[in-house]
Amino acid sequence: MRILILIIGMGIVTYLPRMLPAVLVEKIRFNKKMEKFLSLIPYTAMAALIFPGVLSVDEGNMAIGLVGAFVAVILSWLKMPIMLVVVGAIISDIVVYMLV
Amino acid sequence: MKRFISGVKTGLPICMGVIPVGISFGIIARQGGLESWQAILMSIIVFAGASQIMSIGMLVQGASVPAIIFATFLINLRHLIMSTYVMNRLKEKGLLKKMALAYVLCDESFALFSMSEEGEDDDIFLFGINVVLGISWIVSTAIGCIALSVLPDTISKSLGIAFYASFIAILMPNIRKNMQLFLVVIITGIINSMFGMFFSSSTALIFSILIGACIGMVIIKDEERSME
Repeated sequence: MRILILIIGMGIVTYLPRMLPAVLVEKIRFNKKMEKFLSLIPYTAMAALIFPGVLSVDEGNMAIGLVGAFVAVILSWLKMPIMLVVVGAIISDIVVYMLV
Repeated sequence: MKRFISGVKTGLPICMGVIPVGISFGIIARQGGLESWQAILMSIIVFAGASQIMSIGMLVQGASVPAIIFATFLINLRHLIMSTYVMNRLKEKGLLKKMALAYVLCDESFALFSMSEEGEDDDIFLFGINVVLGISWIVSTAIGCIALSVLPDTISKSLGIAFYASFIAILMPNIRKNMQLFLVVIITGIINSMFGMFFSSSTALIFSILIGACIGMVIIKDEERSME
């Protein structure tokens, strides 16, 4: 029962921030400045999601995150498809684990 | 239908990032004392990787239900910002449709959607992305519950990089052409690391997203369109 209440409560507080803008944006018209601000959000959001979290992929070994991210940066710089970038990063980390 | 399929195709590579997290959540949830059905139900209802994993950690440490719910709220506040962006782009669509699409709005679907070119039937496109992500999240949770620890340690640990690698792969094509945008991304990462020393990681995340965008307003010249 306790778990069920927890799940439902978590569901509500997760859904609210995702849903509220759908209701509110209807009524607001953003000006040019605000549009520009919003258009930057995807980039800053992803930057913040990647860094510094990537350094602690393995709490005990920063090299795992660094090597994986480095390989991902190189592969994506070379315009590889996303799937290849991800697989490349995983394989490089498997190699690091086998070497350490 | 074409836009739906294109959404599904866009979402597929990101499953590589979602599935390992789902599997780990399944494993962690079982180890933390949840029944398999409870873990899967949580993945269906909550649909938020980081907060689900955190909730198990808090449960194990004996935290109260309201405390866990409040922490979940804080972690997911960032979606308020992301959803504002998405909903602004879907402005012309029906409210009920948008409320339904909001249900599966997560970091991944936001990333894919916001980096895609604007087009007709963006709502159907986003729905395609959401369906793929939703199914892979729920199914991978179930796999984690069953598998527990069948995977060799080296491989399951290496899967942790998938989440970050997929974000790097989404971000790179857009910033490699625009050095000012590249700079904003780097600065935001640095701000987030500094804030992380003083605040919880979810608070740091929210503030660095907003401050990073403010800095971008100054650095990036108006005539250069940042979104394509």
